[in-house]
Amino acid sequence: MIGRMVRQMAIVLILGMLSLVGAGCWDMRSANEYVIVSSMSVTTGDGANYHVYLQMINALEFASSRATGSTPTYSIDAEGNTMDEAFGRIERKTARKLELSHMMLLILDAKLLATDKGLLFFEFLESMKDIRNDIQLVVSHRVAASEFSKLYFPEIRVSTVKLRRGLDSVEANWGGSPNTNLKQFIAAITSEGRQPVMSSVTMKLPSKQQQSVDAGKSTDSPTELVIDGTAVMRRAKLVGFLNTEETRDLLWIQDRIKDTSLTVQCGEDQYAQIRIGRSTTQLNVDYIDNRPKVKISINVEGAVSENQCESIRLSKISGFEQIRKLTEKAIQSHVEATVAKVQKKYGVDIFGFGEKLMGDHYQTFKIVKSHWDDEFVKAEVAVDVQAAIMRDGMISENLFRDIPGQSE
Amino acid sequence: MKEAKFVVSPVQLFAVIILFDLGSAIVMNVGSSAKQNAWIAIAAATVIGWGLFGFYRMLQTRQPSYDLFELVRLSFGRWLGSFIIAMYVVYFLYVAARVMRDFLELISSAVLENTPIEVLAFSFSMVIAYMIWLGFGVILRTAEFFFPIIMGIILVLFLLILIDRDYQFFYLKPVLGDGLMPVLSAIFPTLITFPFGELIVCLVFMHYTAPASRVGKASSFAIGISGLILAGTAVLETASLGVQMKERANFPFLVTVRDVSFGYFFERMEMAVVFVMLITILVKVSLFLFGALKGIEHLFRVPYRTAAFPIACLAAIFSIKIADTFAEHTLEGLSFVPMFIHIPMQLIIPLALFIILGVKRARHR
Repeated sequence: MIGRMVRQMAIVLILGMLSLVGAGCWDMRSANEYVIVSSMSVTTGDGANYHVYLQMINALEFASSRATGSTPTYSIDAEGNTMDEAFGRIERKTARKLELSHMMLLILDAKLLATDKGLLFFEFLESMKDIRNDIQLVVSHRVAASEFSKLYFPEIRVSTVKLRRGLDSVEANWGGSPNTNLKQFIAAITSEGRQPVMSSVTMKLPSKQQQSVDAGKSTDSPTELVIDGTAVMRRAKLVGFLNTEETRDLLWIQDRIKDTSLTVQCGEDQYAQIRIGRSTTQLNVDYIDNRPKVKISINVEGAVSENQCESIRLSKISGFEQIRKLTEKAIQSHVEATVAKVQKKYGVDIFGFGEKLMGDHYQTFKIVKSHWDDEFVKAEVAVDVQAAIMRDGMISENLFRDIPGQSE
Repeated sequence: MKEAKFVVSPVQLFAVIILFDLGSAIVMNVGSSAKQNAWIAIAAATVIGWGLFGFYRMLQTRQPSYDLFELVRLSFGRWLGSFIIAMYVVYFLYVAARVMRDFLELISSAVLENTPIEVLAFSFSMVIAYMIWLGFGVILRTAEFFFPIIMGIILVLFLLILIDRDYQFFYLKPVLGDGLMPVLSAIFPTLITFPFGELIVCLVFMHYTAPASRVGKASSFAIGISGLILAGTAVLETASLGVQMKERANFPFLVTVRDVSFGYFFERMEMAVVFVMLITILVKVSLFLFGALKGIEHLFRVPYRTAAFPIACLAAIFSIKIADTFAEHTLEGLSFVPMFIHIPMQLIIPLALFIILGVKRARHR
């Protein structure tokens, strides 16, 4: 009887000790030891390889009862030869540990991408468990990357979130930004048949005012964030930029256009606007007569949103026929021009023609893959556009026809 | 020495085999040397594995009431038989430690970074020892209980990966672009020995299965389904990560699931993968440990329950000491072990058993 009680007590004691020892206090984390990082801007350092600016969230400002109107975000920077060294130095300044898993944007300075060691720290990003693969990569165009971590906008108080939403919206609604997250970038940079791209962002009139919470008191914000297209890379090096119109052609070729809107010229200084609601692209790449032969078939479906042209009467079948031809021509010539520009000016296959060739004609691709970009420059590209423009708002006839004395 | 009679029902066998096959194979980078054709390699290896298991079953049906060790002793005699049983004991213990290390690596690199690996190893092996100490039936019932949960999680993860649409099936091309050689070299020796050949440990408890007529069906379906799941994982991993990234990843399934974000609600699903890994490896390690303990029972006449705790401690220590670095662990585990340890223990010795038993039976007549 007593022996049994002793045994039971011993078991309870052992279990208690085990739960104390085995509870895993080593990995205990509590929120107040951490500061949330929203974005990271990297540029070349003076004393070390990298200079890192982190935008951090001032969490107190987001607790509605304890907000005092002070800044919702702040920026802290440090230099380091490895990314983790720089983070360590920043941690010493913040006196808290960095919570990296909410980081949504990585802003790379164009200056950094001109050097050889620009992207060496990507090894850290990929293998670090807290950093997620969906972090978006952007290049700061014409302004320093560090500027982006210091802005304040009253409508979305964390400027990183504003920028990120801007990128998403520009890509989804217009097709003007080739949004690339870490995973997609790594897939492209390691691909034998494609070169990487990133979104490019810039700022109109960078100013000190926008770095203060007082910017929310003025109706005219001095600084504007602009998403201005594509940064074209040759592996880890930046070779140039494409503007938003050219970016749309890039997305068109890659079948990433969801919604967009197209201005076509239909007469002397007269324009019509086409809203594209659906688009699919088929890519065919083959290798004939020592040069790649690329065939791009684009199918779009849309409606006329604005018609200023006298010559086109949308109440007639022929009017839609005219608009359809103009649209097809506009898309075709623009896409062809963009491909030709990338071929001539940059000489890198950002479109993924090589990947397509690899998928469909692997044996041929094996022969040319070592110098694929040279082959890409020689490629013969044919664009074929099929448009279906079906309707034109609530009223088809142009009101200008009914203004007395305006038309014939 | 005879303990309470228990039977392994076909459903239990089915659950155990599936969880056993998925154990660590679903998270580790298996078949990656076949690049975008990893799924083909896995599918082919499943067929071979199915044949291999059929062979083990045939071995068993020669002497239906005998387990692996009794078969070994019967065909190799007392001294050589004991030696081979000792080899199997060490082998099972070694594989248990390897598999446990897979899990420990996952935990300490993805979840509990600062927790000492010793604490993880011992708490894990204590649970297993406790399960074995309660009897073999507990392992089976644990597997049976967790089986629907694990299948549900895997199904949900597959669906979420598909819904998330962050993949390109284009990455699976070209199919067999470099010919059959890379696929064949992935199948042999790695893929047929791990995970399918490891099913040799089932011979330790196969004579408990009843009714015997449904064993073949249950095990065939189990191997087929687990192969399907593994091939499906390989397809999804390749399509969503791309060949190079999958090859570089230590735990490609974890990386794939990590990126899933559905409706801003289903995010950070990697803990579900860790849970799948935990349960499947729990089953796998406990089966291997049970195999080792049964061998010890045959050799030294120590009941397997008595030896459960000390041997589990030994497995925990082995799992830590087996490799100094992660690279050493995976390199040994995926290149050295299959060729020089799995092949003799899974193929050569059973083949010898088969021949000797056949000869003996012929001589009896």
